[in-house]
Amino acid sequence: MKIPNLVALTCLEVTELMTDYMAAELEPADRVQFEQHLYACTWCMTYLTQLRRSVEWTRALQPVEREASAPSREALAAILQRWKNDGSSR
Amino acid sequence: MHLRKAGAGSEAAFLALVDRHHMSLVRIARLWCEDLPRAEDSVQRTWVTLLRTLARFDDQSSLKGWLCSALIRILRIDLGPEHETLFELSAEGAIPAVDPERFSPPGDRWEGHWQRPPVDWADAVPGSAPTPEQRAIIERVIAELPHSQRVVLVLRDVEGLAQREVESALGVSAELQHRLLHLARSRVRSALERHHAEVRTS
Repeated sequence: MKIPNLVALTCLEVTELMTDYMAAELEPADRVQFEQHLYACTWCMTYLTQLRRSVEWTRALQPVEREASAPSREALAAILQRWKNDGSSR
Repeated sequence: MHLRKAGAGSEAAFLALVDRHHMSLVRIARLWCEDLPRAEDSVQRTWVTLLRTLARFDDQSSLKGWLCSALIRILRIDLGPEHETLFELSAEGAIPAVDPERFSPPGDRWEGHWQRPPVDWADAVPGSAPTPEQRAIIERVIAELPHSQRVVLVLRDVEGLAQREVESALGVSAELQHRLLHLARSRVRSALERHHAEVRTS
């Protein structure tokens, strides 16, 4: 993403660019400007750290029960069996 | 490896794939279809579709991305044209990522800079796992997100699909995905911040 002609970024602008920054999608010159703001602004640095933790914790939200339920497994095993028996569907 | 063995008819390999992806697919199906048996049925038919197309499956494709695309096609057909708008994502009606009142107003010497800065999280260290309470907060925020933001957050951050996979499955541009993802992540952060502020003052 290209930052439109900004001499200095405000905190509001920096918060709006955080997802682009985290995805490494800022243009190199814009990235420098963004990081210069972060060097000087503890609060935006705090915000970025928190946004990163939020993403990490959201990624940790996988279901506790990872395996398919027994009825689902049985139904799918039966589907596989039918597929194996039905040569024309291969 | 499991895919090739499943294609050769191995039940163990097929069920290993099912165990790896089935619950994710059910979660994805429920983004559009709250009824669990109906969502499960759509997922089951996604597996049937995989079996029928295994011979043509491109080894370079991500299986999860492929399953997700197939599932969404099945859901679109099952839910019918009256629900088609649910598959057209948009950022309409989105509120700003951060409450504008937290920044100094126009005309102020510090216009656009924090006047109510983020509340510090003592436990926000890299690599830390969310507590059960934090997990519950994130789950609640996800459930309350506008539909388009919820879809993109679940597909990208919870299920880990790549941008191009979501683009391929839903036809949603990279730019719109980025916007929706940013808004959704900001709402999650904001809810966690409120939680930390409450813990600190209690």
